[in-house]
Amino acid sequence: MDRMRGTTYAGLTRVAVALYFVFIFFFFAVFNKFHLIYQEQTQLFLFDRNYFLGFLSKPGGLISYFGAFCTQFFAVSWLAALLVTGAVLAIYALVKLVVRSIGLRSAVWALVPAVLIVALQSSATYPLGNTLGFLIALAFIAAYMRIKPIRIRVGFGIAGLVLLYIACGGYWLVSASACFMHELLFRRSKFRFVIAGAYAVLAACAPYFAGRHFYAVGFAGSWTNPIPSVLPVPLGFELFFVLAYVPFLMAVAAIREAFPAKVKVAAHSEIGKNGILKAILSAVILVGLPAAAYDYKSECILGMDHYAQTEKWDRVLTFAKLYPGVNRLVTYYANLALSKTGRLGDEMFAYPQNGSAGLFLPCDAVPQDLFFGGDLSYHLSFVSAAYRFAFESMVVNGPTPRSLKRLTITSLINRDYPQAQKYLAVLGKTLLYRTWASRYSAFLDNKQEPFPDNELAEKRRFAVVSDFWLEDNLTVKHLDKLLQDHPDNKAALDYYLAYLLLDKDIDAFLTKLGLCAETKTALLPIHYQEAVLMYRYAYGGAGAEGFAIADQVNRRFKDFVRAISLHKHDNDKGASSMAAEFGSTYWYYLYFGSRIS
Amino acid sequence: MRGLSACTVIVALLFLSGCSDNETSAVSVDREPEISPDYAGVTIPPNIAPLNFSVLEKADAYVVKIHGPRGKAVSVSSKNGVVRIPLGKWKTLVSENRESDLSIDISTKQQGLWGRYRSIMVRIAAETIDPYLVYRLIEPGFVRWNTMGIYQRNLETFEEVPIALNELSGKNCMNCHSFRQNDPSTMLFHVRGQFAGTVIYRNAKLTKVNVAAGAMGPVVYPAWHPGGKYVAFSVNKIVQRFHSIPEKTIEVQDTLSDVVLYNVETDRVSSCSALSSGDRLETFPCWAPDGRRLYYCSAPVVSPDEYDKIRYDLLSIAFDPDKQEFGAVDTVVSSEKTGMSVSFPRISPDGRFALICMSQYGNFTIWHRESDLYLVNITTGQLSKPHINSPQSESYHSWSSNGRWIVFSSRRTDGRFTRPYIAYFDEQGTAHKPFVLPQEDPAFYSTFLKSYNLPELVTSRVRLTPRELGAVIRSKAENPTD
Repeated sequence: MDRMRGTTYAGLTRVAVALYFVFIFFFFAVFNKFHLIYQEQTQLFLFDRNYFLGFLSKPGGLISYFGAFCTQFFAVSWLAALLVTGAVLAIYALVKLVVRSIGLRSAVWALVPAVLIVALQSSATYPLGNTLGFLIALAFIAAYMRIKPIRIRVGFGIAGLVLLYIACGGYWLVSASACFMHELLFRRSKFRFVIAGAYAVLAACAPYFAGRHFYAVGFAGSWTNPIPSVLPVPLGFELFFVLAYVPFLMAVAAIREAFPAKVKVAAHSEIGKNGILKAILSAVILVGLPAAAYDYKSECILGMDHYAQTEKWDRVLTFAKLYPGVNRLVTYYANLALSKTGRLGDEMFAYPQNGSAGLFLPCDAVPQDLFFGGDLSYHLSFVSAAYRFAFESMVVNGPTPRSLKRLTITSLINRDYPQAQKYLAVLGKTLLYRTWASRYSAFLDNKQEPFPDNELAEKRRFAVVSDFWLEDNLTVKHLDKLLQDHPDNKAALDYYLAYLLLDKDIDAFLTKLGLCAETKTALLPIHYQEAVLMYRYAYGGAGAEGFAIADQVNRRFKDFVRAISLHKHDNDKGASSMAAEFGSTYWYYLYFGSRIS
Repeated sequence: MRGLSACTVIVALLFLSGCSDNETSAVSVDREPEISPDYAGVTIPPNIAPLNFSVLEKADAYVVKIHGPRGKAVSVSSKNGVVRIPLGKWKTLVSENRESDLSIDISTKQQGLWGRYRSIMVRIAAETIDPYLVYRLIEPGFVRWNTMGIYQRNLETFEEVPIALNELSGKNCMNCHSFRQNDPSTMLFHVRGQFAGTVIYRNAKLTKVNVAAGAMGPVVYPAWHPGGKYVAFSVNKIVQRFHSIPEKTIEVQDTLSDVVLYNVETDRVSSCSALSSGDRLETFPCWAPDGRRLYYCSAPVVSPDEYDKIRYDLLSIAFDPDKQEFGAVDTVVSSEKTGMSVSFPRISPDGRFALICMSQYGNFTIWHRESDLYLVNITTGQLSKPHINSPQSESYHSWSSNGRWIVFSSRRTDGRFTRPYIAYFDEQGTAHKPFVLPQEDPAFYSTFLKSYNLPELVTSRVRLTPRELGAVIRSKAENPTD
């Protein structure tokens, strides 16, 4: 009966673990999809000897290389989820082997590092190579502990640790400390102190020697590279636990072995007797930890970024609506998406705005801003700026598919074919972008005018003619200059007018609007009409003649004026009570600022 | 013309198809094959690494035979046109054929037929080149940088090792590495940012000092006095701006600059009125090999808006090293006469020539496509333009210790990424066709995204490691600023 119960329990555990890994797969495939896609976008794996050799200058270069190899497949979200889940599953299996060989039985013991890795991999900046480093270190430990003959084991241990150091860098310390503790705590050989001492000496000296003579790393880096020295706050703890876990388990197992009764009783009294409590606790840890590490806001932003790259502007706007709160990057992408879909003048106040600053992204703050912020200049046909920001991004963030593609395209637009050829040659060494490179390589041989690509031809048509200084960030001055060269640059005009609206400079807005011939003949975008009405209201109609206003907008404005007069003594109350009806109007923005702020 | 000759070749190949089944019975092709890098007609030092190259002619197989009047020929077969010449065989062949021409015979097989192109000739000079080249590898960015390092390349092999890496010192900027007359045991470079200072290696001692010229701030472009006791530095207040049009990229301009003299032994900075005048900009110091004249560039101060009107003259000033005193100023190249602006003067080791850059205006020639190298005969004052230039920027340059080789930065391959080119400079003062620094992988430069900055030839290996230098960089300067 007990045996049957045991079998059933084991079966249920297996099913639960399997379900858990299905959950992990969906966690990465659905909820962390854009984090993983972003990882692919921030690196560039090349099938190139020099690229490979570059990794060997540091300990652990091989796993970084292999990690980069795998990360290129993150461009396909289900494949990314599969790779991460596979790595986590392998870690679970290996920890289970280690756990069993030291006499611990519970599946939860084996799941803990897997869960921690899930939390770590939820970060867009945690490289897969690190997970693989830990995985290989675990595989080494599992193999080491199964070898019985002392000579073979120690030979395997020393030779393996050296190779492990070269391949996995800092993760070898997990293996070295496990070998050390294994010999000391679980082997009864009379040489165990000597062997353990040898491992301690190896761990202390080998990195020092290697760092001094072979690797271009600093003192600490000789031991720790490629383990990240700086991680976002919660992840630092998780990484520490991952690294310390196996030695910790060995210590626990050794204590249990030394004091079997006390520890077992304690374990029983806490969770052993109550299966439900144990299951609930496990579930809380297994689901709670990844949930705690999950960053929904970042996922939204990275989703917007992904769809902006793939020019699915409606999806960018969907994420802008989903994002909880206000974020400059969200506003930046939402405005870009509205401009690209021709809706900036109609819908910009339906999305959170934080003044004219929300139109531009500063490119001088953090490296990621350069990564995201160069897009606008390209869509404004400000090609020199787009080239510059892409180049700066490549310098600061390393070559990425995005920066190299942008550099290629801007170089082609500028007729700088030798430079375009260079970036295409690099992209030609990738797996995923060689087709793209091949397509654009055709333009190198085909220098005909007009350019045989509509988008690039348009950018060429709007090429900046008059020379002016380009500051670190895009500003309204640049928009003005772009429009001086090409008054028909619609994107630049949209942004210029949006800038004036957001800056609440209706005078300048109407002046600029009046200069555009078509604004007198066609019906204006809704926010422009709203601005005209507000101007007429404020100045009695002078100076804003000739613009057609839709009846509906006129009616709505009257309602707005009525509502405002009701709340003229209580601004806060007015803001909250009028938000639902007028929150997406320019008038509301003028009076109360952005609806969501 | 090329198309015509290619057609002729094809017709000839078809006609003779029955009698050409291996490269020994190949049909002659009456032109040189295209190879990359371009080594055709260059003069090389007898101690240079193999000139690995790619044959750009489409073919199914390639056979390359390299031979000279003496010694055993070297043959290399290739399926993809990439020709990697065995180092040992190359060294033997080249050393046996000093002052002779090497023939590079290239045969290609296409559709079962072999064709042999006209030989590419490479001249081997009698004089060796200094065996190490030191440069900084950095992306040619606008404002920002990330990782950079100063590296040394053994020119006799393909070995490249780092001397200093900014990853070991907080990713700070490090620049302006400089040697005393090609001597690797006397060098310096600057570190900016968190660990700012000047690292000096002299008399086998490594130190970090703050060298500043009062309110002008830290020193910039260095020139070691041949005696090793002084370093002339420029101090520059630099503004950097970015153009909006694709034809121009970056404008780097000095708003103030002087030249000062740093006594390494006393740790004192001094100058004279001629080198630190208020109405002129003085920069790019360079000593004559005897240490009795200091060459430098000088231009009147203009407002930043008139950046395209600044033109630098090349001047020289007498110097008495014993008294540490400057004397009279002489004009070597007048910008008024040439209508161009001088930068980066470097005097040949025999003191006969000054190699300079000239551009339409300004002094930061790397961002001036029109910048070319010019040669000034110091005795006659004659200015000439050697045939080593390109439509892209030629910029920083240096001489080998024997004066027979010059190495210079050029952006000729793609207009953006600087590569080191080496040219033979004969006794008559003629520079020969330059060649790019050979790499083991001939296609290396096509995907390498960093620039080779400030190539300097040195007579032997720099015996410093990144870790040693990292420790010095992170340490406090020996003479902390007030």
